[in-house]
Amino acid sequence: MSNTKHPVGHVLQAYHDGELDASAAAAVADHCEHCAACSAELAELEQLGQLLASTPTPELSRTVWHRVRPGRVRRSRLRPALAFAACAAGVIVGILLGPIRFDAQVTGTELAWSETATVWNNDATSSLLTVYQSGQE
Amino acid sequence: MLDYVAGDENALQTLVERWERPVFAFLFRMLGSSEEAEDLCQDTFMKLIEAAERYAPEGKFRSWLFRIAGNQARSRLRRRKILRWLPLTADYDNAPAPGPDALDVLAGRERQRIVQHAVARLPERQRQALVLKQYHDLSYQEIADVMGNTVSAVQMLLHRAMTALRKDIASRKDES
Repeated sequence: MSNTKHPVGHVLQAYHDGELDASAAAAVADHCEHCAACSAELAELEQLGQLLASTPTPELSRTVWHRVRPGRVRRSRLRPALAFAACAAGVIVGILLGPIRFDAQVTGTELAWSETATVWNNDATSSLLTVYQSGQE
Repeated sequence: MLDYVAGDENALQTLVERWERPVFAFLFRMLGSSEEAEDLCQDTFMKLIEAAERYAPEGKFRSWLFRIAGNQARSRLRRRKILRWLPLTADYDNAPAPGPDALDVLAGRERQRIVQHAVARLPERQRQALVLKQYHDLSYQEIADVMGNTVSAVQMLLHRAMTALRKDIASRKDES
């Protein structure tokens, strides 16, 4: 056993990774030469590194270049655009349906529906009203 | 990168073809899914193209690239809500088997599976530091640049990651 102090774990790790400056590395090397515990620790780090290196990585199924080259329609730019379009459509539908639901809740009468139909006299709301009124009957 | 910024599109193609596999491998090890890794690999290069004008040549290019990829991985992991979540049957389980001898192959695959799952169970930042060091051979300084950390913080992250891995792998071996 070396009579110098054991290097702390992260220093031994840095030594293993070749990240210590020359004098610190020489001190750790000198210690490990005489310390069975630290040299065993180093051997374990080495073994774990080899184990990690042995794990495979799958191959890319297709190259990235043809999907990202400038001038192409880019999927990740389309996604926010589609999300925005969906939100906008939702808001429009909400605006169209909002007054109808409000009237139906407040008055609950056929009069309110006919008034609403007058205000919202277009194809979309007409068809909605037809569906609703046939359901009421 | 500088050639591309100067208007040479061929330079961009060379750059993408040179780095697509390392970026994909990094993302795969961060996410455990090759499909998600491919998606985010594409997004990483799109971000790179968008940010090309802001590229500062004083830093290392690969630190910049891995920082973009790391941000992509982190936001995907956040989207999964639980940072350490991985699908029960991660793509690790479908890895191709090396070597001719069947028993050796099985033992090897089991060992690889244990190691990959242990890596996947590490806290996100430990995993990122470990992957950049072990699989991409970045220096501590480069990892610090990628992660926006100090070198000593990276040193501690790596030490903790390796300690946790050793414990985890040892306990799995005992179980099996």
